Amino acid sequence: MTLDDEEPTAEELEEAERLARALERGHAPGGAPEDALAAAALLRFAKDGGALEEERGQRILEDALAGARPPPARPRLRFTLLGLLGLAAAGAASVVLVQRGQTPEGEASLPAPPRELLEAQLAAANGPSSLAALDDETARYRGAVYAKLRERYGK
Amino acid sequence: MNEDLNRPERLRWEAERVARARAGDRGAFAEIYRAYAPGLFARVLLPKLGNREAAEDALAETFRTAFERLDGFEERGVSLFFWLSRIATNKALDMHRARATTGRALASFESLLAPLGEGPPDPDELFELRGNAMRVKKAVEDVLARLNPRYRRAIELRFVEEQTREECALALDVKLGTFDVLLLRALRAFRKEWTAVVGEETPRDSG
Repeated sequence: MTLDDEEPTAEELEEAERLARALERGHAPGGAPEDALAAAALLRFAKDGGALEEERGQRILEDALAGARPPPARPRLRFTLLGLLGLAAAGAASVVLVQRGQTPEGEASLPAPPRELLEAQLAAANGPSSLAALDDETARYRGAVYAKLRERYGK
Repeated sequence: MNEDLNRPERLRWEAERVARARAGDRGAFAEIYRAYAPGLFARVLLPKLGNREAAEDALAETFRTAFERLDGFEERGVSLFFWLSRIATNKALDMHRARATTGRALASFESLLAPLGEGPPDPDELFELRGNAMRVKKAVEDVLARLNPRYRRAIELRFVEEQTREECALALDVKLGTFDVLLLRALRAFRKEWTAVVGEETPRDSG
């Protein structure tokens, strides 16, 4: 045990001063001797066992709640399940749409050559005098085919 | 009040208040606070920090975090107190880490309390704070009785009678600087005697 009539060293004087500041203000920017500080804290604790005064406790609660963000809403299980089902349905619909987009479009149903065109072709085969009629019927049939294609593909 | 925190009726009490607090009922949260804040303060935060003001700030931070993260608490047959205790421990560690910046005087005395059963929170004793305080007080008196009279007087003046440094120096008829040195030596002598008489556990995670 160090006798209290021994002359203090410079280091001890400095430690004593830092400890005194720490005990008085609760702050020790340059640090304080922790062994002595802990003993002092224990002695203070022994006085009341660390009791928290009701009024002080209430203020601490108010401080805590004032600085708190509201807790995130906790979704109910029913809504969670409905949400999952909705997501699954949306996913399935997406798959169908993507697959449809990747599938080649169905063939256009083109008009059959009209009887008039076939007769004009037969007439043209028998003599060149019927070529004008064949031209007319072919142009009409071509128009009908193009119209059908435009209707199907929009081009 | 001597209760096991993990008893079914206590857990039901907690579960009901947690559910209401999760729905935004601050009154239910206040009930949880009133039940557990004194124990957290006296049994967890103050021993870890050794600074009343810092412990109060850590208590506010603990309950702020708890309120915001109440959804993260899972009821698995273990009291909410232990979840709160983990948050409080982390807050205390954060304060120790930030000490260089904040300049706060922190010193854990957990290791000194541990031999008296005052270390980690014990559910059976949580509500017996008054009884615990009496046990610590008795141990302090026993240790003080073993100190030389001058050291004992210095400690009594400063920590029992709560006199100012100047008043203490005057009472002991010494200069202020001399009293500071005397108190430093007295506290070190007290700690040494405490370790010899009561014991001391190896510090674990803070302080």
